[in-house]
Amino acid sequence: MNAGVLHLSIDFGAAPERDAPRAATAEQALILAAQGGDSAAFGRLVQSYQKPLLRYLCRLVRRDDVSQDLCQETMLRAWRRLRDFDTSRPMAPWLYRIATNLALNFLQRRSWRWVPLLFGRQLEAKETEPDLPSDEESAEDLLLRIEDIGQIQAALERLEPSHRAPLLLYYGEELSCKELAEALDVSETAAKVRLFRARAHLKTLLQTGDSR
Amino acid sequence: MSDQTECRQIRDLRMSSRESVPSRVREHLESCSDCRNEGRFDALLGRAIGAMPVAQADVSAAVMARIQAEPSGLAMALQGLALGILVLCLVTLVSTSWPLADGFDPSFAYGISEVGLRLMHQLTALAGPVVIPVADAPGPPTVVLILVLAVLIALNVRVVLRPASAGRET
Repeated sequence: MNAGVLHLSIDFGAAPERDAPRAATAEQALILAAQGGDSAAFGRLVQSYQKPLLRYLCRLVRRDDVSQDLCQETMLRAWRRLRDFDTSRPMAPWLYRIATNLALNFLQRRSWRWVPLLFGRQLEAKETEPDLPSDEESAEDLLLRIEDIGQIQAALERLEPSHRAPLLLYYGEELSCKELAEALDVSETAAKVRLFRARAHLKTLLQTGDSR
Repeated sequence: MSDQTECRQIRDLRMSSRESVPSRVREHLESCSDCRNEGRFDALLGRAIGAMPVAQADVSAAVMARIQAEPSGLAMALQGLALGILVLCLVTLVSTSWPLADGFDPSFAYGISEVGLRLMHQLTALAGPVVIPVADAPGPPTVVLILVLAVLIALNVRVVLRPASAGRET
């Protein structure tokens, strides 16, 4: 996470100065060149985006070798579908969308397993909805309970990938709600709902002390 | 502590506008400890995610190598054409060499491959003065042609379908 940008934090950290219009124009020029078949221009886009994509995929998949493969695959798919890309839109959310779909597909395939038919539903319910505490803990109590950020990281790892993705994109990659919506391929309202639910689920894991 | 509706509106506002903090939000946060604590939790969550270990790798060279190995549009079209011809020839090969057992209607076998037979006549004519009678099994030139096409297609398709790296699942 970039220093000085604590969105939703209370320290009102100043946003970093961005030369957005010029950067967008340069990026658009590269995308247009790449759309025309200039692979060197696409190479420069790969150079710009590989670091954030790899960072996001590492945090989502939690396996370095797979993250690198998924990052390569994301770029390759972007290259193949580049002609369909609308150059008036930012490229990052589009790349994050491809990466998220690939990662969630990978994680879903990996989690396939045989479950006895009779108990399958009960097991599933237990995995997806941990027991809620009898009295809802206040945010202050929860903060007192959290001893270190390792606890949050452990809870994040236990979170379902479909919940982890919006949190990583919003808090880790610092996408705006609009960009998050594009990355998740949903409306802005739906993106906010997903973010809210993921955050609530994370808090539940922390409250139940089930994160370790 | 403020009412829940106000808190929800403020949280939504903060979620939507992350780069600028409106004065309304500042004023609310000064008076609402719940929202301040939610903000502290968000900051903690951001720090926790930021501190997660990540791999450092340069995948650009591998990506560019794979892009260079991608077949062009014309090559893809030629592959599609070759694949179509191969399918037709295979159908022809199977249907003309089918043993005509009692009760089997040969017109069905030849009917489905009529186009294939005509195509094979044209193709084999290019290789030499070989004429395959419709009712006969395909001759050696046709079989050689099919094998050559099959090898070419297999080589090209292998390039297209090659996994990301060393057969790892992606």
